[in-house]
Amino acid sequence: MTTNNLNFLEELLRQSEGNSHYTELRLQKTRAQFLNLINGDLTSNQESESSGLSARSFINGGWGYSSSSLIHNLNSSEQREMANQLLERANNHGHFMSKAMQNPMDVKLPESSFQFIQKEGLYKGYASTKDQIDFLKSLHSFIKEKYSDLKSIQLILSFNELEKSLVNTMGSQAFHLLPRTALYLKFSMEKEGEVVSLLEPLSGNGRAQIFIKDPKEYEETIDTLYKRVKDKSEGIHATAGVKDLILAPAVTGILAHEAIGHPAEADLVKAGSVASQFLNKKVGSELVTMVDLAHTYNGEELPVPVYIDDEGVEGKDVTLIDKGVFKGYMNNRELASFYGHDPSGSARAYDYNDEPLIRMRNTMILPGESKLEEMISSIEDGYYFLQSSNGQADLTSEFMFGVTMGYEIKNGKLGRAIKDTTISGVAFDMLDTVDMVSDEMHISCSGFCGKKQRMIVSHGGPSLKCRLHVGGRS
Amino acid sequence: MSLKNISEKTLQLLLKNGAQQAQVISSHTLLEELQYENNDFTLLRSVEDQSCDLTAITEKKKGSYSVSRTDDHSLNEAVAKTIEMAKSAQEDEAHAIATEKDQVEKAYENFESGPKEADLDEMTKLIQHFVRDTHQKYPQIGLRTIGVKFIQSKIHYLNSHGIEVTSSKGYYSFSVMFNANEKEKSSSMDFDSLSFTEFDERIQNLLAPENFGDKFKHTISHLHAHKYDKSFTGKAIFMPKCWYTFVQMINGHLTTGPLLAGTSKLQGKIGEKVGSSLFHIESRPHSPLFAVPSIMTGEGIFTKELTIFDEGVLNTYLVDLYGRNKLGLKEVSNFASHLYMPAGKTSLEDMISDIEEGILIGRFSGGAPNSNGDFSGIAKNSFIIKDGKIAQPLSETMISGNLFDLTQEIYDTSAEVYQNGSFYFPYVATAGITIS
Repeated sequence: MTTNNLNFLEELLRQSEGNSHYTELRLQKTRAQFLNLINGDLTSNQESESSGLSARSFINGGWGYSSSSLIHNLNSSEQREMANQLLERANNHGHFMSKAMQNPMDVKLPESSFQFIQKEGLYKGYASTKDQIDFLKSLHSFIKEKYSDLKSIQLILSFNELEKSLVNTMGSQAFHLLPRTALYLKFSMEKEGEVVSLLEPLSGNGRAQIFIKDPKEYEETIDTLYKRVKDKSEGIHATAGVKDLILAPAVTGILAHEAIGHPAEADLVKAGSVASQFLNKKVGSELVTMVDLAHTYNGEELPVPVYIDDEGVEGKDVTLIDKGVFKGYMNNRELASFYGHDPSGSARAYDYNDEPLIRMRNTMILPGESKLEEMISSIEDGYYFLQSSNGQADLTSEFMFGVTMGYEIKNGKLGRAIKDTTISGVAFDMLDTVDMVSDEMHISCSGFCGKKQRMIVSHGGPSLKCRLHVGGRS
Repeated sequence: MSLKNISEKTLQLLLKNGAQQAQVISSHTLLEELQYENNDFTLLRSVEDQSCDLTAITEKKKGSYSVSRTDDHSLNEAVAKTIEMAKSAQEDEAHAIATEKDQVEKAYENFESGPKEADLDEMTKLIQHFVRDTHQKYPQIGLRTIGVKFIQSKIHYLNSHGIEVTSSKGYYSFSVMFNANEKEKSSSMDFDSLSFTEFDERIQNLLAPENFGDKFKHTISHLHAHKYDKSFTGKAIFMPKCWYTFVQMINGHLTTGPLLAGTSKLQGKIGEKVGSSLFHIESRPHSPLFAVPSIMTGEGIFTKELTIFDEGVLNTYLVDLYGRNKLGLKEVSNFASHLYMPAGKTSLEDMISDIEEGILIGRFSGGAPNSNGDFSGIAKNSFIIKDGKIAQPLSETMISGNLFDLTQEIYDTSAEVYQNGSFYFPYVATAGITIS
């Protein structure tokens, strides 16, 4: 089936040869499942599957794009005729764009091709809805029995999968699946009329069965989450101001993604991000090395393996910061040509009807040599931040993240928990303040990155010791 | 196969295969998008989407499945999948499919609004004129992304209780993301958006330099933004777009999820005064103030005009069918779009001149507030107000407070309103914001 699809797509592309400077065809299926159990009640039991064909053509610097969910395969003459029309529309749109442009360019996209056909059957079949719901119910019962003083227990099992077949006029061919499952545990506790909540996201590359286990296997996670939400219910508000902090890997990861990763995407560099001024300049402590890895780290496959992107470019690692020096951007074919760099294989689309955009893959700060205990003991008055909620950054690299779990550090020891707060700063200033980097490493792929479209990404890193502005009540 | 045929056929199959109650929504969407990035046109994108959303309830168990393929084989598979999902779920008396008795507003059978096809020439001209005017009047402004979209969405809703609606809606949306640049300095990004149905004089005026220019002037002034050295707790004026995001956060406490989890700060407060009398929020899904009417929810409940906060008094939750049944409420009321807050009588200028030391907040970049409503984050596109005047554009300035305290402290609303086709809000003056 995979080979058939690719052959049909190739045939379609050949028929249209010469009508554009570059064209790609992508046949895609996107699956999603969402189960939500609130206090034992299944409030959402939803699943979806969408599929379609897209064509994208590049003509004199302008892009034309067309997609349709009415085309699912190219097995019948009717479907092939519709696909032909779709391709023609993409070419016409490309011509329309080149005429509308003030400065149509004779841009040549970098010539490169790559073939990646993922082994079929790499991922086992889909877990049944019944198995998933039964698992959530048993997990809920286990938690409820152990910790009856929780005000609410919310459990979410969320699955997303992208299946893509791709060909382009440079000779690239691809077939691959990217499945991602996340299990979210959210506990709420009430104390003196105030409700506090804490979410623990677990995530991994694979389908839902990677999480369907005996609830006892989650006991350590559950105990830790319970302890933290209880500590938080008795916690204090952080004191506002610039503080010495330790950011745990989950917070380091979101910092890497939001505050440094986005400004280093070549489309945002072209839009004027602060990173455009920093190529080959020192932007931080020598302890900081940051990368966006395509698929593998230390010989192990990462949670979001991208061996080939949606422009048919081989996924290559990008070193963003090397020992404190800013070294490069993530790009697509067009902006690789614009900046005179090699394409990094970072152009990805979420759904069949989305055009490829420059997206991060597995973004992380690499571990250092310090021990976490040494880092904590080196702080007289500060905080240890363990979990973050949402984060935002802009092109100046000014960022903020919500912090949902943390402890104060007094005289080198952990103290009371703190209530929700926010940290903010300018990433390229903050990196200069990093004076210890731990030897641990944690990567998560639980969330979505939003940049016009959603996208599955992963991020992580070690613990960082740094100075940042903490929001608070006094 | 027409949307009506898809819905009818699929509903019959669901009922034949074991569903005791069911609904089907068949839809067809056309999208044309013209995109401009960093000084030139870049992309013309056409999308044609079709989908069929199935929901089945059997033995008080519910499952929902959505599929984009609508050939016979795919629909048969989708029906089998939906039934399997429902059977796998747990029994819950609260699951329901809408009936006539659940309706709180008059029914539509056929509804049509807006244009039926894209006018690509007008879409192109709109961008060209906006770019030309901006470059002429505000050369420091960098137009990073401009998008004009045309969307036409046709829906056929059918359920096993005889509710059937056909709707067709067309509209355009304009969005722009911009910043200011001067030598090596760049300001933060700002953005704006607008929904509309015709390329008429109103749209040209809204996007004309004399109207849009204030936003650009704000952004240019942020090239020289810096941190405010002093911490204080005081008055704040929220710009309409920013206040809208805060109201959405407050409305989040009225939805089914937090109410069922018991984490809503507004639980049990219907009929209570939870804000100042100026805190008045309505949902007006049928109002001509908005570009695209909303006639029904995804559960087949016809929308109605709804006062959510009536001069500070909480009037309703925003619950779906399940939430209504589970919480033992009277009506389905998840109509939280098309939000309207009435204008006041004071001009923005007078509101500012009334403040000795405070902040004008353009955008909030912050963490989601906790269950208690406490929030903290960065004030973006914002200004310090000093001695009744805008004194300083801000960067790296943290604000914090509590959502529910803010609503209690509202003391004025502006005569000027912001309406972008999706919401209608004035500037809102309140107190109790901590700047640090």
